[in-house]
Amino acid sequence: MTLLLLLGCQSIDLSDEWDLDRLRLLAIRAEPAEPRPGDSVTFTSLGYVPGGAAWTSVWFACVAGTDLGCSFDPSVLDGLDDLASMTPEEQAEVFAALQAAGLIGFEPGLAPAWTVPEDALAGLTEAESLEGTSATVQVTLTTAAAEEEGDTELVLRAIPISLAPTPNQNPDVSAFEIDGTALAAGVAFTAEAGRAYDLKATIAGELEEYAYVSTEGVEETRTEELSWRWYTDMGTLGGAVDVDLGEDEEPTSDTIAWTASEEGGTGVLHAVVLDGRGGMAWWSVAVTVE
Amino acid sequence: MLVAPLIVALVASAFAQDAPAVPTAPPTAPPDAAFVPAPAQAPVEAPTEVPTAAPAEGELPPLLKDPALVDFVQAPFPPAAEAAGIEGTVRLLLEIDATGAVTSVEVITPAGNGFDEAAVEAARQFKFSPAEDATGPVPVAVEFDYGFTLAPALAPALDPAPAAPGDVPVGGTAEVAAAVAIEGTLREMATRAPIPGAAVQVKRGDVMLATATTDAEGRFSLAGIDPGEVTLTAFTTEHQKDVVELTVVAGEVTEVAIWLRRLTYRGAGVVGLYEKERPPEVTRRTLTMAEVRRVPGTFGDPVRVIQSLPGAARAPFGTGLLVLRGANPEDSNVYVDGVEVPLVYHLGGFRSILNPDLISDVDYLPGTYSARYGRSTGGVINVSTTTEYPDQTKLVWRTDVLDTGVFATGKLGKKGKEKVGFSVGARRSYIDAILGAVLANQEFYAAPRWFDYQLKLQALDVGDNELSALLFGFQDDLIVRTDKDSPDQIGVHYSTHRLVLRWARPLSETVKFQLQPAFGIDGTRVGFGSDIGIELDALRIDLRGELRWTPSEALSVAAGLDSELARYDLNVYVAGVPVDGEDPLSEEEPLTIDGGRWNAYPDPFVEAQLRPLKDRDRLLFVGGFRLDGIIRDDEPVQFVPDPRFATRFEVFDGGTLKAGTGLYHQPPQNAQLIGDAFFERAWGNELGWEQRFSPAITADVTGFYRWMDPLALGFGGEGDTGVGRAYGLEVMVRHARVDKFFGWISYTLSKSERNDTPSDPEGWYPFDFDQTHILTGVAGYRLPLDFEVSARVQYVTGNPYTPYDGGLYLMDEGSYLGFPSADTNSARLSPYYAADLRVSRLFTFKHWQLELFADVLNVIHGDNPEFQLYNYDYTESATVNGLPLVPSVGFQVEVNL
Repeated sequence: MTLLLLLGCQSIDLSDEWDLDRLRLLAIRAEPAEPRPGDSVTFTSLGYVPGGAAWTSVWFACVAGTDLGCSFDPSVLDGLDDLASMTPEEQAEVFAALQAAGLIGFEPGLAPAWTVPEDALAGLTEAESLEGTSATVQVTLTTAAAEEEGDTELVLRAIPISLAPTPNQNPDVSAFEIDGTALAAGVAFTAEAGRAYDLKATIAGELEEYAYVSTEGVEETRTEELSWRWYTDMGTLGGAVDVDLGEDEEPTSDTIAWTASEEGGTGVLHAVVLDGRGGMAWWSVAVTVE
Repeated sequence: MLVAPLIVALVASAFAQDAPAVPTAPPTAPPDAAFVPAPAQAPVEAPTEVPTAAPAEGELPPLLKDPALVDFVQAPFPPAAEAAGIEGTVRLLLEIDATGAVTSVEVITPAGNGFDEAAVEAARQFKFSPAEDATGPVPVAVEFDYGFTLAPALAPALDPAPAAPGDVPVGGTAEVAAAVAIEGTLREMATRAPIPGAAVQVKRGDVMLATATTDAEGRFSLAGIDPGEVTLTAFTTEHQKDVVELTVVAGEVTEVAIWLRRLTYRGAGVVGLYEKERPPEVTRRTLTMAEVRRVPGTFGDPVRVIQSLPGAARAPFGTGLLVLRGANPEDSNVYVDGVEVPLVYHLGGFRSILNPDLISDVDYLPGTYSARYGRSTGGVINVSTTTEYPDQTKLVWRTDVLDTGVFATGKLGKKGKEKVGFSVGARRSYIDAILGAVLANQEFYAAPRWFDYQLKLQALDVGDNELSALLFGFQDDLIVRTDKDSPDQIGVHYSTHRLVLRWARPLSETVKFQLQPAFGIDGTRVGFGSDIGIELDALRIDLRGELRWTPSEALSVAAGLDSELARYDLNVYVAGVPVDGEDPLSEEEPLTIDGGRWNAYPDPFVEAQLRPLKDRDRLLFVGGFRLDGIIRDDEPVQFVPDPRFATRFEVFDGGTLKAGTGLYHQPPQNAQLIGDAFFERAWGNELGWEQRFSPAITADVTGFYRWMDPLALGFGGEGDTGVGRAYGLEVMVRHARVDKFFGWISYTLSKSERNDTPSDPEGWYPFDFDQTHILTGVAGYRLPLDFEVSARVQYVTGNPYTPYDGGLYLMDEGSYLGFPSADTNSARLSPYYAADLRVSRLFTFKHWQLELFADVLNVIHGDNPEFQLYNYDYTESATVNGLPLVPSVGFQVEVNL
């Protein structure tokens, strides 16, 4: 309890998760969101690279991952260090070894894509196959100055695999409002330095409903619950908004207060939404603070 | 000027009441001398607790009977001092053995001019009636002021007059001597107690007319005084002198009531140091209230002083967690009068659960304790409630920034035939209201709130029987708000109530039994918004019974029960728990648990104490055996043996060797609710030496080793266990409260480790509260005008922590899994430095006293790192510091009705 008191009284100066001040991989969207064995899956990602530095990302995928990601012989990564000096044949050999270890992408260059193994659900009963399992996608995002602190981001993402008759669909963020004014996709926003704005993001359509059989065998219809994450590098996020829509009133939306930075410049606002079942989407706005 | 030597022996008023024969004139008195014996003059301070000559395990509960001076020996007034008109008072420290003989005399405050030698020589010949405690006569040490004053000149014209009872023969005419002229009473301010044995003088100008000594009721009468204006002076060396102008009218008796103020009220009620029956524990540090309540940082709470003693790790954030000799906090038990309670402190750790005025002493048993205690593998704290009740009802009202409490104690029944002693008290905190106002606009807000109550009744007129009932309880609530727009997001509630009945009586000259049933209920509620709710209720019956057979002074055997029957009812609701904890996309289902379980712990024990040497106190063997058991209706009965052994040997006068070893079992806390019954086990060992350098100064050096195997991990089944070990050295050098000073230095050198994979010899890592060095210094000094100042300084090695360097982003959970950059708990926080200060001032009025106090924690405003906090991705860290400067001011009012 005293700890809580102290935390309440002390000013702890640590960076906030919403604050984009370092290399980050914020979101990965798999399409389809819930593949079947044998399906091809493509991935798009939302990242943040300070200063627009050069970066690379290495993608692996596996069905039976661990808490720390996919298991493979780390020596297969050694070949990546000298890739530029290799002949095309040598590069192909390195990539073959990497793909055998689970490599599914290497950016820039090889866009991440994965074919779900046919035996991904092996060992599961028919009923269990309807529920499915989760595969692991492991991404290492690195800038050129990787030796410096914060220049590498390691990420694990779970991808559901099942034979569900109505597999999960990714949500789509369809609207983004600043102080009640909707922004069209791709449109930038100019903010007044130091001013507070209310942000609101909304997904398209209604929340998905799906069938769920409880551990006690009871069938029920469940509705997705969305969770939202907000990020910016131009100001602060958080605090009360003037109009709290509330989860019950608009479960497909989320709001947050954004105070533009005191100093002018350009940056981004991101709203990322997860449906809790492996689906993910985002909306990004380029902002200019004056 | 006629100057006659007047020797005033200054004896404690407590002694004086029992000192029937104090010479009214020394045989060597010159013919013209008027000796005013003032045996009633009290010493500057009542006998004061100082470290026992006995082992440094320290003092034991208060004496039942103080020593009383039986034979006073008059010291001759040093001729040179007399000739020079010099007076003086020598403060002595007397050691009195169990027969009442004075075995040692030490000058504490010399007066020079030959007074010291004269006083020492005379005091060596004193004879006391011995002090007694529950075990019989015991040796003690007391302070004693031996005063030498020159008598004022008496009127040469006056002839000796017959004295009233209690008076001394002084001058006066035959005519006036026949009639009492002045009568009166002397009472002490604040306590309203009569002052026996005080000296009363009546003068007219410089001429002494009469003197008297007050009787046991504080009354005096003076005869043989001519009518007219007189000056009456009343004094003892323990009180401030009072001078009253009176008019004596012929044929009338002048009545006067005089109130004397004690020179100091500090230390009143503190019982002298003494050595008593060797306790069965090797290390047992019993603290007396007047000493420990003045330790800074305790906020006047005696239980908090444990944190300044060897073997106790510094509790993080001052929470008062009991980390004793490297054991987990939950592995140490807390008892009130032998009945287990779940908490010793209210939430926040500022206050213990009992009103300090109800507490008589606190037993601190960090290891290898008696077979009477069990179901714990760590240490034991036993808080004993008072068994003494003042003749005059006392009311106490105490208020500071944390809470307000009231307390009353006294006796019920006709005066002199009181039937029942009582103590009743209650407290309520308001720190929640203060924090609520201060943090009204903070996003984060946490406020503890508590109340407690106590009622104790003890029969006083039941012969050999001891009958008492203690009802006490407390309730704690903690409200945590993490968003000021959404209050009361987290709530914690604890409540405990106990009724303890005690009956003890001797069955014969060699057999005594005691029976102590107790009934209690505990309630715990934890809520996190509407998502998580936990309710745990416990109904428990404790039974302590003991039959002690003492066939001789050499042997004592006890057999008894330390039983507990408890029913736990658990109700848990969690809105969503992942069905597959390893799948980040797992569906969630509500979790509900609604069940109850009986646990019975019969736990019989036997213990024998053997004192084979003629000097019974010199060598002691204690062998004990306890059976710890678990009985449940759905599982096989399990019993495990706890053999224990301890010994003490006084190798030479003042030097004692001690050793102990034993097994200790306990059911893991979680196993009481969930999981199968099994026992955690510890093997405790210690070896030490205690040295008494003087009656006031003692030292204690103890080495210990504790092996813990198995230790439950998580909810702990027998296959989910680890091991632990703790070892170290404890040193304590103590100057007990003598005269104006008390203090101690304690140092603990220790190492405590855990291994969660016992098969891996490389798996050892430092325990979360492993503190290599703990050095604490405490000192208090009494200043004039009833000011008292005390200070505590502390240096403690920083707690270990596991360093991280970056993390793995688990995108679906939205959190990072930290990458340890080194072994578990391989890094340490910076050392902890703190200085605490307490200043108090006592004001005394006729019927009451007022104490103002300020207790300031961390007066040097040290940073005191307590916790390493990481940012979301483990790339940055910051240190959460301990309590900043925390002042607590308050007052206490004490009224004697």
